[in-house]
Amino acid sequence: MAEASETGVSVRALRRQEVGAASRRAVEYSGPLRLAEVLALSPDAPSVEHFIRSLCGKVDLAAPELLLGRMELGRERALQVYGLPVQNSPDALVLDLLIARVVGTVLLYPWDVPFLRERAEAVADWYGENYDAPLVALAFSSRGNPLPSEAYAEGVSLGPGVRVVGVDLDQPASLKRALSVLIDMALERVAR
Amino acid sequence: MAGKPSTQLSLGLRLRVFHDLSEGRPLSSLVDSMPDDEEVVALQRFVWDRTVELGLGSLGDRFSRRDITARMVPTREYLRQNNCTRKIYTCKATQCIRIHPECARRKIKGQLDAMAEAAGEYVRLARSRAKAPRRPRLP
Repeated sequence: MAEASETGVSVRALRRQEVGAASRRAVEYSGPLRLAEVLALSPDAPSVEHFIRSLCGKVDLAAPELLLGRMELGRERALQVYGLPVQNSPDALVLDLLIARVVGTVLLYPWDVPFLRERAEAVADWYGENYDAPLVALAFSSRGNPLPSEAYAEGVSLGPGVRVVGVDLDQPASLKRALSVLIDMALERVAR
Repeated sequence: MAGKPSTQLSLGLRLRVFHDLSEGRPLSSLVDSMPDDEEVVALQRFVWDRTVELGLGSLGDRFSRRDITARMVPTREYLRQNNCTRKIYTCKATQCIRIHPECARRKIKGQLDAMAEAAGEYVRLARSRAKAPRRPRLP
């Protein structure tokens, strides 16, 4: 028997209306916005734009050397993503400023494009020599996730503070799962 | 073979090796590009650890390290092939590399290719399972 309110309207229907209204309500920030920040490095601009658009729904800023996206996490909270298309040695000053702010870094790793893969590996070399913030390499491919999440949900460790996680750039859930791996890595450092 | 972290390999090299390992590509040619014996040892340990991790992810409880080592030339046979009269327990490439680096490097090359063969199979199996249609659940 369906639960009914005093007016005879289905409570389930009322609840559905409330959920729908909440999702349509514009987020109004009454105070300072609390941000969690992540840096996304990529050997080319299209893939980092693809990543941000898929994760955040849109790209807020698309400049040649910097892309910004924001994923709302409810009222007054958001995940800010800084996207940097880099080649070999990134601008040290920009990276120093960003690394100081972020929870960690993702490196987009084009699994099946050799010359982009080599660029990403050069960036990884540079990153590994200069920073120890947690790094997750997001392995993606035009043929789907090269490291299926069914078997490798938490990715594979490449050493202290570095993991590689397979993703599908068209699947936001896949990208969010990879971000949760990054957050876990950051938390592990605090726990130690 | 597992052990200390592979901090001697650069991060870019680790990514590259992991990619080739997951695709089942032979890794033996990398040894020739490494003049430093310690780096070769680090490479062997890194590849072993990753291969085990890939195997565990793909096979779970059914994974056994023996599946990897069975693809390698047995130590007794390797000693015989190289006319080596040393004790069998001394034939560990990661230790003998300081005494007979050429022989040890040859052995490591064989081990690396065996591990790549295994790792490639593990990842292919995981991919085929991911693509297989799921059986519908009964109501």
